Amino acid sequence: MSEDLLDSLRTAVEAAPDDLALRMHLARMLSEAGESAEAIRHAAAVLQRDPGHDGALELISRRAAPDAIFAPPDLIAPRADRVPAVPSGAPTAGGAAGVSDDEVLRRLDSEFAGVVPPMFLESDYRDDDYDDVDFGSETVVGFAPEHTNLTLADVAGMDEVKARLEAAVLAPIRNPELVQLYGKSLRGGLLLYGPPGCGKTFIARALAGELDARLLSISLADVLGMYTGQSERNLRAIFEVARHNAPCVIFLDEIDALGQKRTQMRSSASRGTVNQLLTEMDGLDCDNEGVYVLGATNHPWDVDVALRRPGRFDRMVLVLPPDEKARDAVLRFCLRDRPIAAVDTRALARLTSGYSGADLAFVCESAAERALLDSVRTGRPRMIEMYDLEAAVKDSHPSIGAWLQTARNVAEFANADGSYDDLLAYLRSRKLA
Amino acid sequence: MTTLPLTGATGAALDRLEQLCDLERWAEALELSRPLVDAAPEDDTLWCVLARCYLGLAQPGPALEAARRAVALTPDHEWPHRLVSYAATVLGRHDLAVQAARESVRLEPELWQTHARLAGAAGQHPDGSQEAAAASRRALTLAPYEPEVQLVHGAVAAKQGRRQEAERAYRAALELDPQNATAHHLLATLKLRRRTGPSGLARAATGFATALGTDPTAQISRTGLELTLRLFLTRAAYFLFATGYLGLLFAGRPEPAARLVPVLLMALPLLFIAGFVRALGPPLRRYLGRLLRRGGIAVAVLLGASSVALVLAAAVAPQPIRLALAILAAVTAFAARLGLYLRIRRLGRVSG
Repeated sequence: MSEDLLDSLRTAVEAAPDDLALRMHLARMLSEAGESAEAIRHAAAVLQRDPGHDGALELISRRAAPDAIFAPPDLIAPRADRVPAVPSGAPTAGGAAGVSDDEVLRRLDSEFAGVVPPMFLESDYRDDDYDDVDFGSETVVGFAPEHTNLTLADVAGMDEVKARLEAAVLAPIRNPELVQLYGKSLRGGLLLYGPPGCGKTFIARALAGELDARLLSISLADVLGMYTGQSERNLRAIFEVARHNAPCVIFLDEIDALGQKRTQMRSSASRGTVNQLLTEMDGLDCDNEGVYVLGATNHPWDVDVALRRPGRFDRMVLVLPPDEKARDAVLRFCLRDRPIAAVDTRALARLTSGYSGADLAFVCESAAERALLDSVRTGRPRMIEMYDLEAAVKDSHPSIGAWLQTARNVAEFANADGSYDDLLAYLRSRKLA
Repeated sequence: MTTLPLTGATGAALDRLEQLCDLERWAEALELSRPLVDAAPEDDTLWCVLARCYLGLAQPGPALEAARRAVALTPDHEWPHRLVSYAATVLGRHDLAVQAARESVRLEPELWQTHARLAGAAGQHPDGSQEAAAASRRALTLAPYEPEVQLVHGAVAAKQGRRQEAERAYRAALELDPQNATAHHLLATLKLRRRTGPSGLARAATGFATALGTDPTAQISRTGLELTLRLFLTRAAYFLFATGYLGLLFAGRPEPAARLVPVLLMALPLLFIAGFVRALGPPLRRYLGRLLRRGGIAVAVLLGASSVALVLAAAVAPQPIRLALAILAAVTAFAARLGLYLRIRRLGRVSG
C-alpha cells in the first residue's frame, strides 16, 4: 500500500470531511495497511455523521476486537442479527468450533489477567451455573414437541413461585400413589400470570424439563388459522400431537387471546376457538393422561370463566418481577457477551427492584448504547463500565406500572373468590393497595 | 361490499383479520392488513379494516385517511362513512363527523349502527343535540336489544339533562349485558352528578367499583371512584365542622336542654357517615378502611373524631373548663378540615 496514496486520501478527507464514501475508502485502506487506530478513528467519524453506516460498523467491529480484548458483538450495534467478522487468530467470546463460550472466556481471563479489570465484581453469593439460563428467549415451535433440558434449578431466585409449582404440579405428579390414596385428581391445568417480561415462558419451559416431558409451546399465531374453522382444527391437532407424545406439556402462551371471555367476542370464529379449547382440555373424546396444560397470561381477568373451572385452569400461580437473586442472574445473562469491566451485578440488582426481565435487558442495552456513543465520540472503543449501567438504571423506570394499576383494580374489586389473594398481598407489600 | 371479488387468499386473510380485531389485537391486525392493502389498494373493505385497526390503536389521523380512501373507492357503502365519522369525532372535527354520519344514515336508513353513529357524532357537536336525540331514538326503535344503542341513547339523554331517561337506558343496557363496564360506569356517573345523600353516594361508588371489577383497565372508573370518596370525605368533614360550630354555640348555655343540642347535632354527621358506610359493599368498605388508614387522611380522621369528642365533652363539662374544651374542639376541627383538604388535593392529583 503506497503511503503517498494514503496521504493523498487524508488530504482529500480533510478537504471534504463530510464525504462519507471517501472517508470510508480511506478507513478501509488504512485498515488493510494495518493502521487500525486511524482506520477506527475515521470509521467512528463516519458513524458520528451516519450512526447506522454498515461499512463503518463492520470495520470497527473487525478492527476493535484485538484492542477490546475480545470481539464484542453488541459494542457496535446491539442487534442480534449482526454477526461481527472476526479476523482469524483474534480471540472471540464464542463461536470457535468445538470450544464453548465458557472455555473461551476462561482462556481470555487467564491470558489477560491483570491487564484488564475483571468483567464482574464477585459478590457474597454466587450460583455456579447461569449459562443455561435463558430468560430472554421465546420458544417458537410449530406443532413439533421439543425436549428441554431446563429445570426449575435453572430459574434463579423466585423461590415462592417454585414452591407453589412444586405443591400444585410437581408433587402430585411425582407421587401418583399418594394422589390416588387421597382421591385427588391429576386433571387440570395451571395458569401462570403476572406482569409482562417476568419469565413466565422460561418457567413453563423449566417446568416441562422438571417433569421430563416434551414441550409444545403454542402462541396465538400458531393457532389462528386463515380459514374459518382452521383455528379449531389447529387446536385439535396440537392436543393430538401432545397425546401421542405424552408425557407432554402444552404451553399456551397469551391464553387471554386464545381463551378470551366469549362475552367480549363478536365473531363466531373466535368463540369457536374457545369452545374447542374447552373440549380439548376436558378430553371428553380421548384420554389426556400425561398431557399437562400450562397457560400464561398478563391478563388473567380476560380469560373466559369457563376456562378457570375445575379440571381446566383451576390453579393460578403469580409470577412476579424477578427478586434480587433472579435480577442478578438476568443481568449477568444480558451482559455476558458484552465487553464489560468491573460490573457489580448484585449492586445493580439491588438498584432495580420492581424491574422485569425485559426492563433489565433494556438497561443493559442502554448502557451498551452509552458506551458505544462514547466510543464513537472519542474514536476509541471502551468497555461498558458500572457507571454506564447505573446511569441507565437512573434513566429507566420499571415498565410494569400500567399492569400494576390494572392488577390493583382486579385485586381490590374483582376478587370475591380470593383468586387474586396473592396478588393483593404483593400489592399491599409494595403499598400499592 | 367490495369493488373487486376477493381472491381466496385475501378472503382467508380477512377471516383472520376479523378474529384479530375481535381479540383487539390491533397491532397484529394492522401488520397483517397493511401488505394486503398494498397488494389490493382497490379493495375498500381492506381500507376499512385498516382504519378500524388504527382506531383500535388510538391513531385517529391515519384512521381517517384510510377511511377516506375507502369512501373514495365506494361512496355508496355506509361503513367507510361511519369510520370517517368516528375518526373525525375522536379528532374533534365534529362538522365532518356529523356530515359523514348523515351520509351513512342516508345510505342505510334501516341499520341501527348508522343512527347510533349519528347520535354519537351529533351529541358531541355544539349544535347537534336535537339531531342526536332524534337519531338515538331511531336507533332504539331499530335495535332495542343492543346494549350499545341503549348506552348511546342514555348518553344523549344525560347530556340533555333527561336523567331519568338516561338511567332507564343504562339499566336496560345492564339487563342486556350485566357485565357491561361502560353501563356500570355511566350509571355511577349519573348518580354522582345528582345531589344525593349518603346512600346515593355509596351507590355511585359501588357502580364505579363494579365497573372496575368488570373492566380493570378502565382507569376512568378508578378516577370516578376516587372522586366519589373524596366527595364523601369532604361532605363529612364540612358536616362535622358546621355541626361542631353550632354545637359549640349551644354548649355555652346553662339550660340542661341546650346541652343536649350539641349531642343531637353531632349525631347528624355521624348518621351521614354511617349511612354511607352501611350502603357500601364489603370490598369497598375494606377499600375505604385502607384509604382512611393512610398517613395524612388517618391523622385528619383522628383529629375529626377528637373534635367530635371535644364538642360533646364541652357540652357536658362544668363551666370553668368548658371554654377551654370548646376552643380545643374548634382548633382540632379546623386542623382536621385543613389536613383533609391537603390530603384530598394530593389524592386528586394522583388520581388525575
